[in-house]
Amino acid sequence: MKQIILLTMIVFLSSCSNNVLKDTEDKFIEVTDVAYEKNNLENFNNEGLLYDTDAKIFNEAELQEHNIAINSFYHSGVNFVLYFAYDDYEVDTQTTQTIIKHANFMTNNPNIALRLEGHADARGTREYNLALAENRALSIKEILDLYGLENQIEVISFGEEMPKSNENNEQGWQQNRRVEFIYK
Amino acid sequence: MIKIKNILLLLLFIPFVSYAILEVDIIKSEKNTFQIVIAQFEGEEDKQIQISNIIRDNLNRSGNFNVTNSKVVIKDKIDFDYWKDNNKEAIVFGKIEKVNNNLFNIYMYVYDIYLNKRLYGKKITIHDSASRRVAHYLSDKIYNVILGEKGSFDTRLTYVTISKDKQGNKIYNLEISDSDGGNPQTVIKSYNPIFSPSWSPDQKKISYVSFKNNRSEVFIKYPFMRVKTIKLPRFNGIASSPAWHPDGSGLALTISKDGNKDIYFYNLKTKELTRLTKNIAIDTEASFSPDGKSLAFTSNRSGGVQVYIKNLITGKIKRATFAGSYNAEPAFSPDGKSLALIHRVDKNYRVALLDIKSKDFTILTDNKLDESPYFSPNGGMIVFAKNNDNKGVLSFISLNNNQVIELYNKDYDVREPSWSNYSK
Repeated sequence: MKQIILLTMIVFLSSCSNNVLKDTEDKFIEVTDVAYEKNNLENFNNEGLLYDTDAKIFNEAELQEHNIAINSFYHSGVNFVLYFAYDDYEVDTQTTQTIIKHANFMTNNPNIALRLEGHADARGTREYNLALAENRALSIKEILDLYGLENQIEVISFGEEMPKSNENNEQGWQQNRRVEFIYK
Repeated sequence: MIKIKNILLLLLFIPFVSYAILEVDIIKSEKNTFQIVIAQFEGEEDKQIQISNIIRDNLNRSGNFNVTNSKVVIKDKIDFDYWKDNNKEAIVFGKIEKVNNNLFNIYMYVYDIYLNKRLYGKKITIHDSASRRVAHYLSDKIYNVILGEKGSFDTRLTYVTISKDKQGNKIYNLEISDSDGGNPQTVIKSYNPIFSPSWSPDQKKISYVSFKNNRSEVFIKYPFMRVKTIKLPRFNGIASSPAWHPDGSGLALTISKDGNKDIYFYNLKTKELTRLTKNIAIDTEASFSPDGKSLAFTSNRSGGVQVYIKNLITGKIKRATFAGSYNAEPAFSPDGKSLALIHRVDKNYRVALLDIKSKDFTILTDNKLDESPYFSPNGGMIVFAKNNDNKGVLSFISLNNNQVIELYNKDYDVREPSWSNYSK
């Protein structure tokens, strides 16, 4: 039940950003479309034309193409780092919109793998923060999974071990409560 | 004593890479302390073997003694009236006798000044490499004959230090040392984070978490043996927060193989994994009670972060902490009656003590960011990691009189302390 609600919400948001769809029924259709598109691409890939999922072997040209895609997506102004509130792993509306952009990118680039790296600030205990940081990455993955992307995603929690800022104040802590999108 | 000697000789042959020497600060409290004189031992003048210094420091650090040196070496005649007039309650003196180049006889005597009575006398023959260990052993004896309780001196610590290489990259060092921070040895050096080390109940192994494979995994290291480090089975998600069962048969672990962070018991012999908690919330930071019948852990199942205790016989889980919105990282006291934990006050994280039955709750420190509390094996002290202006130090608080000691290194961060059990 929760998933359905979430799905509705995401699709609603996604439609808002695209300004294309207007009513609930259409929103569900869009999801089907995305899934359909992905299936088509998967079939295409299964013929061995684009990539080899298991071996992850790319030839240089493919690799370059792959990197260009990531690079241009990176430079399109989309956030590759999403931030969270203190002791929190809820994804807010704005963050959801960013995640949907990533979902669209991944759907269009099924040979690209994503690693979601969860982080926490240094406050509180180390082991709890490791768990908390994984939940942050998982709440993003949960949304991407709705687009059928689960096989492209790996989640790693670094807890408070890899801070971006070493400052012991709210600004520093905010920078550390994050999930990083690492494409490869 | 032969056993002690063997262990120390064994230690000599382990090729440790390097180590960080920790310095000590004592914020001395004389409140509620036993007044004792530890005279310099006869034969310590030649500096080859030092015993009385180590004993003096040990007893002072415990928070149970106020130790003074005597101006003269005491050989046999004790001026009881003089010490009585100076309000001293007991006196310790001794002798070091060279047998040959490396062997020494150590004599130590403890007298009660008011009763004019010998409380303890001992002669021990040691190899010179065992002198620290013997000083700790004798400190435990003094503690025991005077206070009637076990000491925690002849035990070990493990902790993590963070150094930097020439390029400024962090190096994580898993260290072991004597209970006073002396005799430090580096067991593991890694560019990847290491944390949550803890001694196995038999003191032969250390479990810890390492990111060496770019994710949190639990390992077991044999610091004194040429035995390969054991990696616990790989799960999807995190594997972390190892806590030894008091019988040494296995560890409680936090595993998130289905995304949900729950506590499992991993049996080292059968390699079976048993689920101990099942909740959609985060369950982590497990600690077994000394009788193995309960498990304390951190969970945010109530919405806030609180400590819970699972009765492993009945399976019932009860919330243990109610004060404040953040209580985490519980550690059972050796008598099983209390928990040391981390408690948030405003924006500060402090060590607190919870009496499980009466629910009495005492905040022990006034710090900003405390972590990893752990009891000394006799329950008299709590060691924890403290943050001094962005610098990690180890802090020890005496539960007798709140005396605080800090172990630090000016170049390194020190954190993640854990105390061994008594050696067997």
